[in-house]
Amino acid sequence: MKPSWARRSPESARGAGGSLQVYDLQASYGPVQALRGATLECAPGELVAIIGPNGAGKTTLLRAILGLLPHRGDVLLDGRSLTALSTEDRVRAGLALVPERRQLFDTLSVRDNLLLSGFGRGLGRSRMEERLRLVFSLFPALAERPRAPARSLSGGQQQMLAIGRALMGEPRVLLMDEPLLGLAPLIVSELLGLLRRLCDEGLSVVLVEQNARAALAVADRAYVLERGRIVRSGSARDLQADPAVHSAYLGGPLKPEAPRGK
Amino acid sequence: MNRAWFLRGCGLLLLLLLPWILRDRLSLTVPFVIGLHAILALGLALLAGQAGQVSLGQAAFYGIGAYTAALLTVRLGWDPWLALGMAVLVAASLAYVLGAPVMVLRGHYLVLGTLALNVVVEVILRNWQSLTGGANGLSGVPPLHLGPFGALRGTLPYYYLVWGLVLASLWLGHNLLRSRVGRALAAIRASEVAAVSLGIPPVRYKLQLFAYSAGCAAVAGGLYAYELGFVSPSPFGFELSIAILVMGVLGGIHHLPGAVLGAAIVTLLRELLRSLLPQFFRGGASAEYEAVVYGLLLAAAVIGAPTGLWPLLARWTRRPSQESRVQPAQPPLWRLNQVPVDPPEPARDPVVKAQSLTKRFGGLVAVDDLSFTVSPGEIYAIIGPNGAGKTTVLNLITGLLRPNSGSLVLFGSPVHMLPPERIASLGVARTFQTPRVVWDLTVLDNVRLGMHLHLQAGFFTSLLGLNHEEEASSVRQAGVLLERLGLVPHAHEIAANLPFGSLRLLELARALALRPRLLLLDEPASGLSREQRMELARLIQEIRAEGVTVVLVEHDVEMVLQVADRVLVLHQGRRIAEGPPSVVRSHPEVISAYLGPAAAEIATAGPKDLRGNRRAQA
Amino acid sequence: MSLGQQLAQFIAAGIVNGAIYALLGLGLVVIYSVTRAVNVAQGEFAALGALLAATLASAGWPVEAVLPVGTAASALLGLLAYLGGIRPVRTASPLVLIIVTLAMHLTLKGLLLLVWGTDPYTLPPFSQGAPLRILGAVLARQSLWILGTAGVALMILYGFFGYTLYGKALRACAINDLAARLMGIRPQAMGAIAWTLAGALGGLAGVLITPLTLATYDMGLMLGLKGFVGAVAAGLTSYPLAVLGCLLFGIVESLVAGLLPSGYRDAIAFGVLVVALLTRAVLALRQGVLVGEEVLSE
Repeated sequence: MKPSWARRSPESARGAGGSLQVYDLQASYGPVQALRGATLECAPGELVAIIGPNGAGKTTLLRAILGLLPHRGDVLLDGRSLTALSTEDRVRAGLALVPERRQLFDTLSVRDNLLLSGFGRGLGRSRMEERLRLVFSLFPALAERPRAPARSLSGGQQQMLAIGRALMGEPRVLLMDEPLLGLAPLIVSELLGLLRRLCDEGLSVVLVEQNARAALAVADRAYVLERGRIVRSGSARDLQADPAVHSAYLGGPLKPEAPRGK
Repeated sequence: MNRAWFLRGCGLLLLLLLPWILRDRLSLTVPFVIGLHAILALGLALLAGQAGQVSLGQAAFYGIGAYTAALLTVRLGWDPWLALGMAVLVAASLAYVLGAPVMVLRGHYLVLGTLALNVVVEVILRNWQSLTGGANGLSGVPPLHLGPFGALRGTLPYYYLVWGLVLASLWLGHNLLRSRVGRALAAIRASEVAAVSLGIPPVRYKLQLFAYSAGCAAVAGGLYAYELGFVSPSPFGFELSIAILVMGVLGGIHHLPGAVLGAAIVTLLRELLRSLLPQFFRGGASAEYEAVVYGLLLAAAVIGAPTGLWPLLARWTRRPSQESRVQPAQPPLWRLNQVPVDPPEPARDPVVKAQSLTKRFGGLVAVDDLSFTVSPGEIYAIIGPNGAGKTTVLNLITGLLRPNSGSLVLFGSPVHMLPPERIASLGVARTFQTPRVVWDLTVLDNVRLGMHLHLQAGFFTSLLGLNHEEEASSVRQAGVLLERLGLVPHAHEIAANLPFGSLRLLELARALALRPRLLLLDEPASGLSREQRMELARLIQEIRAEGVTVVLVEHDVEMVLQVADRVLVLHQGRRIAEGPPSVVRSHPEVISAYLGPAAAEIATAGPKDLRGNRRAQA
Repeated sequence: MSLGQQLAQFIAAGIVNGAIYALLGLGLVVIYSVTRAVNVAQGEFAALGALLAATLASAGWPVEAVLPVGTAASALLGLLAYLGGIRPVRTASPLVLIIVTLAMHLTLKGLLLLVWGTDPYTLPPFSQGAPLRILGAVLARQSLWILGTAGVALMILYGFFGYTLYGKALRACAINDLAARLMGIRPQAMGAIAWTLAGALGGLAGVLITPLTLATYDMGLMLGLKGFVGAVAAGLTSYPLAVLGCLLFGIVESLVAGLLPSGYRDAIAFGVLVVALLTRAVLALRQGVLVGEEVLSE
């Protein structure tokens, strides 16, 4: 029995995906260089995962792609360079980010959170209503309480709202920063199923995840980011089988310590 | 170096000889007033540049100083020196009282508050005729007298007096910036969170600085009154406070001599405007246009040269070879043998006892009815995915957050109402998820920041430079820590140049400098290479062996399982498991939710041998 | 007049003044919450509206035209102030922003002086007629105009912020600037709207109050700072609290001014400001202090 929100929706993201190319992206936080030249790409309709340890620069990578911090290197969407654009304009061009910790407008209602996304992307009123219907069909839990303030939702529902907001603007590439954090396992699998479906229908998704196992299970291709650099890339299946990746991210311990005295 | 000293010498010579150079040609009044303004601007520069607080009240304290001195000498016949001292006391006390509520709030409230102060002072001065003489002011203010010189009349003695004070202020300020208090102020500027975690009380230092700048302004006010022999409300208006702000911003608030430079430039400009503008505009209007010029200058300075003019000048005086900070022939600052440090006393009560702790942020429950205990001398780890509340727990323990309900007891005393700097003084040190060091201090000074609670030099001691022995001893002790953590090669580098791994070590060194009984580490391994993580694990165990209790929040689950005595697993703010690693790693809920099926494999399979081969199969 | 009537008189006058301060305070809150700037020049928006209206009225324009024109002119000034002064330094620290608004205050005051000189100007009241007696207080008809217009303005704002997407977008920028940008909302556009709105509110306040008190080139600082008192009590972020704070302040000022000699009237505002700051500080301390923001950003 499919979970309620895995139903086929009347309108889908069919063919809407764009291509994203990132060349030698470098970014620093003050004196600390967090990103030392990352190159990757995502083809239309692909689900690309980016895994790596904490502090590797995964979040920095997404923020740099969105232009939230100054960066060197190039970001291309459908072949068009976004590097000179501000964050808002990159969003209007077709990128969407579901940020770490969601960043909802917590005192505004669910409906307002969604509508503002359409407003920001310059959608007309009727188009906004259409997208709203789509999002509600994907996430019936949100449809049940559209006027509730965002902060009254549960963690999983807030994540749904964050994703819904990103989808409102008909993005060409959806970027997600650790969407599975803090979610109960059941919701995790539902969410992964949803992402897979959206990709199958044509949306391009770049998924940054700490939970490498879950990310590789659902992705087409993946990159491993370590200390600001891409150190491995390939199809998800190849990476799952790669022993180095396996030991680093899929459950390898450190060298055993000498017995501790107490 | 030579160029700088040469310029200083020239400047001093110019100051000394100026009255002779100008005699009969130009009045000495303007250089005298520049000196007064320099003192006002120096106070502002210290406050704004070091404490990040912009005060628009310098003119008010200037006026309070002038009027207090005048009133006490004219109406009560006090000795002028005593009256001056009283003026300083009155201004400083008022600053303390007015500042106390404001320093607790964000910076722009001080701007508003001091703006208000200007208005109130001006209104009182103009309206309380019986006391202040109203708009006509008070005349007959007696001059100062100085031993063999008798009564000081005319501008000349006051010129030397005021510039002597300017130089003294520069010296005092210089001492302050290089002291324990100066380092504390730098920490407050860089990260108040880090500062309070080291036991530094931000409000107290900001207040002291505010009171000091008010006192300086009052001295200037007194000198003004004694030189002129007369006080009236008009020089002490809001417009002067703005002019002082322009002086500071133009000169560069992060550099004390810049304030003097700014004072000179703006005062001369003022004189120029006052002679030119009335030719174009009638009567009182010209004063308003003066204000317009200040406004434009201010905007230009803030936008165009945000660090002020002084750094530009200073750069010219430094020789190229001095630009590099690494000085190869560095004399050894410490001996390499251990400086004896008392080990922390062994505790008997549980180090941390949390009961039913709950913390909500709006609708989100970050920590939900959490109870746990940490025993002395253990390494206690807290794990769980992001958003599980781990950092919130650390913030609750260190007092950065107050729990909505529940209790928290450290070393047997309840702490949930204590401010973070008090909790730090109980012997609690921490590191942060992203290193919060003071970027423009050296590594050595950053570590010495950790010793804040163990050093004594207070505000006045620091001002007067009476802390040499303590400073030398602190350098020695810091040296020991640097050596232990392998940071000696970087000792004189500014923190901004360090690689990431060294930043983590620096934070750890700073935390250890506090000589904690409880050390809290927030994801110390993140961003480190495999070798660095192993080194870290070794260090943690060494620290524990010295009697320090360690609470470790980590993502690197395997490292935690190797190093920790007991582990607490959090999920959505709630505890789902607690116990020794071996128990936790095979706890079904923990495995399925967080460690994933692969780790479940490990748990049932047992540890790997050195070659990474499984020793047993599930 | 009996004590009761005196009190009623003071309170009524206080509410009327409070309404004016509330318009200014709202402008301050809009600007601060959207662009993080503490606008020391807010009063100058009122001064421009007032002086322009006075000039037009004396040239024969009817009151119905003068009010909207004055308001619109100040709205334009607000926009220009944003484009010229704030937008270039949009991302700078709050300290730099407040210094820039300080510079704007000084420059604008100079400009007003240049054009209008030091003379006071006046506007005829919007409707002629004897003062009315309401609940024991005697109110000039202009006071009723003030209350009425301010009330309508507040209701319009309420509708704007609560029900239109533009208004919600402004609130969103204030709630979470990052998320707003991620939605494609342009902070410059929102900043421009905020400043234009604040300019309009200031201009409206200026035109409304001129028939009761005179308009001069330097009326701005006092008005603006009084708007601040109420806004500060609201922490510069809550619209309803700012309105309430300003109304209360108006009443307190009126009551105290009735007792003290008139020269001290302005000082009262600042005494109250200090009290407001103290209260804010106490509240902040009880909540666990200033480090709240920094900590939560982890």
